[in-house]
This record gives sequence, structure tokens and C-alpha cells, in this order.
Amino acid sequence: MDEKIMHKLRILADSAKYDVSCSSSGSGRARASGGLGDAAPLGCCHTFTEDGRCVSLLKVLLTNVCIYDCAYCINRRSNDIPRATMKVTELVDLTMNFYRRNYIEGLFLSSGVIRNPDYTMEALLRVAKALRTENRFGGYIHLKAIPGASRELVHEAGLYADRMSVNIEIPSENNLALLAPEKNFTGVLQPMNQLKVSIEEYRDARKKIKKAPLFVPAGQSTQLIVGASPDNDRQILTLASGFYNEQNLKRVYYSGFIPVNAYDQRLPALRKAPLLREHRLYQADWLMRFYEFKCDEIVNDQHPQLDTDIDPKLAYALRHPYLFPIDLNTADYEMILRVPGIGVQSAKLIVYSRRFGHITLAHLKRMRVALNRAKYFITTRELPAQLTSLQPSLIRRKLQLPPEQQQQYIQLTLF
Amino acid sequence: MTSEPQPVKSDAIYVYDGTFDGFLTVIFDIYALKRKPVQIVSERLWQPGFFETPIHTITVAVKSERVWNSVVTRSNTQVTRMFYLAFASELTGVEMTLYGYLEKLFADTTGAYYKNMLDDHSFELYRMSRKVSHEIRRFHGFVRFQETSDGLFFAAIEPDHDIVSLLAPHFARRFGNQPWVIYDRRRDKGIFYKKPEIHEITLTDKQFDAITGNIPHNLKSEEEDLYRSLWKAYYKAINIPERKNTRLMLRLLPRRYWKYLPEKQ
Repeated sequence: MDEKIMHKLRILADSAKYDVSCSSSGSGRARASGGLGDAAPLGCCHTFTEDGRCVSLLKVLLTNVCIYDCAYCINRRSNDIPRATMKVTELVDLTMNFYRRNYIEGLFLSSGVIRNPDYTMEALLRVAKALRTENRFGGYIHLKAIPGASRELVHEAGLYADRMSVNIEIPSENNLALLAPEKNFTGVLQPMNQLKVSIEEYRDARKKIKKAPLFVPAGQSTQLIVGASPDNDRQILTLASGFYNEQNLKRVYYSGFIPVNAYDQRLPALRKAPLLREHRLYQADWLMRFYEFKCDEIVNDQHPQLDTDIDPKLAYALRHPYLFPIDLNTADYEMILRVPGIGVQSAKLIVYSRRFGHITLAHLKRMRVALNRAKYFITTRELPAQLTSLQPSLIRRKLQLPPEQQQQYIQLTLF
Repeated sequence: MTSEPQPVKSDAIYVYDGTFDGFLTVIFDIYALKRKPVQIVSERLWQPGFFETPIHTITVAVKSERVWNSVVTRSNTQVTRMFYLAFASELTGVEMTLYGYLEKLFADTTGAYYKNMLDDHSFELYRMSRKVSHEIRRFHGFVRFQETSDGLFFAAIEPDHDIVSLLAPHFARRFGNQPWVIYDRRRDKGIFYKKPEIHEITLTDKQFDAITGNIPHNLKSEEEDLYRSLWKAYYKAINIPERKNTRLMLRLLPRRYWKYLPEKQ
């Protein structure tokens, strides 16, 4: 028995790991009286793996058996890999016992598609239901919405889950058709749009009636694979920006493609996962979500690809030298946020503090402003004038990644 | 003719019992004795020098309460929390920083000193308190319970700062239906929770392993080893070798925390 569950856990965690979502924040579900667990509003990392990723949830597949044959997926039906399926009771026991020992914040349950979408969605739903009702589990539950499953099942799942997600994976319709012929954009967007409407309805109801039930309180997310198709950063970020604005997604995850099925001729021959590109996309994503940047300010027709040598905020500043230098003692918060080297924390501190006196370089330093970058874009009393006369090419040369780090991330041209 | 205010001598070394109340009593005495400190130090860390005659402060609740009330009325809840967190940091010299802060706070006539983040003492208070709140957040994740045969969940920790009692509210909320103990082995004190009680405790008869903090085999619940090994297997399986990034992992999970994490054994 113990051997069997160990074997299954190894297989199903291994198959689930390419889904990079790990967050456990934004729910704030309170513990049911007499029950176990709550969902901390800020989320919590319980450990970190050798790849530096946070482990917050028990992330497993219900099964890695799948009727689909997507080119980029380790679990595609034509792959000859060990397959396993967890029972509902096994998953419940694992979650409860890991949770009691404070190993995890909750469960992230995904699955290969078995028989048909409805059958799979119902199986996921049974686990969430057993946890919430029979075991009075108040921890975090992240469920996959299976494209093609009935509206009723997706809706019911939303009543038990803290977060739900549907993964787009391939950022453009034609490339999705090429790499996953059995899937299409409309199929993926359907549950996403359905969830968006219900989330808003339930949130409004809760404003009027305090005891109204929760529905996906931590919102929904999705994932895009980067580098498995020739889609450029502009396509990726435009899609992501649409998800944030139209579908009100909480997060879009970018997953640097790891060639798990190297034999498939439709896929690019990558020597290494495009980790630097993935990092730049996350930086751009942060600019859209926390720094009040619009998508086309980061990537556009002239610059469809993010610069890998410098971060997207610095790239923006160097493309718009006429906006700088700015005076931190008078500038608007939005403009301070645009200065390379100044983050949300320090921008807020600057705006808060400056009514008590003049902000000096020493202040900025202890506020953890990255002066090596910021100094070219700001004026204070002490900054010598020549530093602030902008010469984009010169600044760029000073601030770009050192050559040895560029080497590390070298990428082959795709296709 | 007005007389110049007498300069207050700044030469005293205050030694106190290391408690928060003790520290506030010191502050009271500084003003009562009109002798400014050059050093405020807890008994545990005090190393007597040859020419020094320290002032040994005896903790008096009435005195500490008066000082604390004064802090509360002159600032807001954010500042009082920061003040307490900074004290819990146990960083060297924290007492003098806090004293410097209070000196300015008490002398302030504008009523806005506590809001001024450009002030050196104010910022230092903020910086120290952030270190502590950061570690509290870390330990919400890094505490690992072991289940005993009588259903108690035990966790040993060795945090940098004195945070064990600050961890209690989070775990009491979350694990309200199971009794638990979180024990700080460096400071030899812990929190015992069993609904509805919550106590600070010091264990006299330590049954757990002196090095690993593990509870002995005969006291473990039947399933403890199973779930521990399942967790270790899970930790291994969820890693993506192609993305190996040891530097990042070490930054987020420094080695000093590994001792009580089963997955790092």
C-alpha cells in the first residue's frame, strides 16, 4: 500500500511539474469552525526546489493518462511513459496529512483528460468536494477547468475552489492548431469567460449579503509556453494584457519551453530552456500589473521582441530619453515608477517621505533604490549634471548584462 | 536671568533582564535618574568591564506600562507594532536605536515625528522591524510539525529573531482543531496550543533529539514516517533538473533553515 502510493505520487508530481503556477495568495478563506486550515491572504511558500521555484501547494495530476496528443506535453498519449491514477481517498489523505504538518498551503489538482472532458472535470470536482465537505478543509484549492466540460460542472467546481485555471499554452491560434490539433482557442476561452462572469456575480452578491457563498475567491490564471512556437513577445504580451483587461485574470504564467518530446519535428530544437526570455516576460508582466505600463509601451511594431540584454523598464527609458531626468521631489508617483531602479516599495516611500524634507541620495540608498541604474534618470541636489545628460547608447553599454551572462543564456534561432 | 539647562550626563550602562518590559523600565529609569545611556544591554550579553559600574534595572510593570502608554498615545498602531518587532530582532545595538527613537518621539512637539521616514532613527526602526516581519512570513512556511502518538503536533525551530510568540496567531487560526507546540530551541522557549488555551512554555524534560529536533520513534504516530517520506519524494519529483538554479534556491531558502526541514535532510 505505502509503496503503491509512493509510486503514484512520484509519477503524478513529475507529470504536473511543468505547470508553473504556484501561488496561494488572494483568497483569504476563513477556517470553518471545527475544521482544518485557512487560506492566508498573502500566500505562503513552504519550501523551494533546486530550480529555485517556490513550493506552496501539493501539485499533482489526478491522472497522467490523456486522450490528447499535444506536441509540447510530456503526458501526450503517444509517449511511452509510466501512467498512474490517484483515488479520491488517496488524494484527500495526502492533502490533509501534508497540510497538518505544515508542508503545504493546499492542493493544486490538474489532470490529463480521460474518456472525455466531463468525466475528467467530475473526477476533479469529487476530490475538492470531499475535502471541503467531508473533511471541512479550509486550505487553498486550485483546480483546472477542463476545456469542453459542461458549464454545470465547471460552475460547481468554482464553489469549492479558491482558484481555477485554464491553460492556453500556445500563444497563437494557428500555432496551437499545429501543435495541438485537438484543441482550439474558443474551447479554452469558453470556460475562462464563464468563470469571469460568475466570479463577478458572486463578488457583487457578497457585497450585499455577507454570508453569500464564495466563488473562486482567488480568481483565475493561465499559462503560456514560451519558445515552443515562433510567436514573438509582442504576441505573447498582447494576449496576456487582453487576459488581464478582458477576462480579469489574476495571473498569467510564462513557462520557458523545456523540450520534453525532442523527437517531434514540429517543435524547435532548443539546446536550453529560454529562461532569460521567460524572465524578461515576467518583468514586462510586472510592468503591466504594478507599474501602470500599457502593453504597447513595452512592445510594439518597432520593438516586437523584448531586449534580453537589458530589462524592459530600462529599455523603455532609453527609448524615451526626453522624459528624463525627473525630479523625485516633485514628480508624480506614476512617473517615479517609470524610473529604472526604483520599485513599487521605494516609489511609495519616496512619495510618502518627501513632505518631510528633501530626498537625498543617502535616503534613496537606504530605501534600496538601485542607484547604479536610477542615477541616470533622476535629479537630486547632489547629482552632478553630466551624469544626468542622457546618452542612451552609453548608458546601455554600462548597464547591459555582462558578456559571460549573455553566453549562459544563448539561444538557437527557432525554425 | 535664565539658567542654561543642565547637561545630562551620558555615561551610564543599563543592564536589564532582556524582556520587553525590562527594556521599557530602563527607558523610565533613564528619565527618572536623568542619566543618559551609552549602552543598554541584556544580562545575557553583558560582559562586565573593569572600570564600569552598570545600573542594574529591575523590571517594574508600572514603569514599563507608563512608558508604553506614552508611546501609544504619541504614535499609531503601525509604529507600535514596528517598535515591538524591532525589539524582537535582538540585533546588536537595537536597544540604543529604540532609545534614540523614543528620545526624539518624546521631545517632539509637532506631533508628526513618528511619521517621518527620512529621520535616521525612524528609518532604522522600519528597517529592523522589516527584517523580523520577513522572518515571521518565512516561518509561516518553514515550520514542520511531527505528529506524536497522542495526537500532538510538534515543531522545533531556530529563527534568527525572537519570533516564536509572534508566530502563534497564524498557527492558532489555521490549526485550531489540533494541539500543537512550536519550540524555539535557541531561546529555549515555545508556544503550546490546545483550543482554547495558548501558553508560552519551557520544556524541562526534552524528549526530542538534541541535534535534529526529531521526536523519538516510540513517541511518533504510526503514520509519521510514511508522510515524511512521501513529502521528501514529492519534493524531489517536483523539481525540474533542466532549470537548476542553486543560487536562487539558496537565496530563498538559506542553509541555516535546512536543519528542521525533512526535504533537505
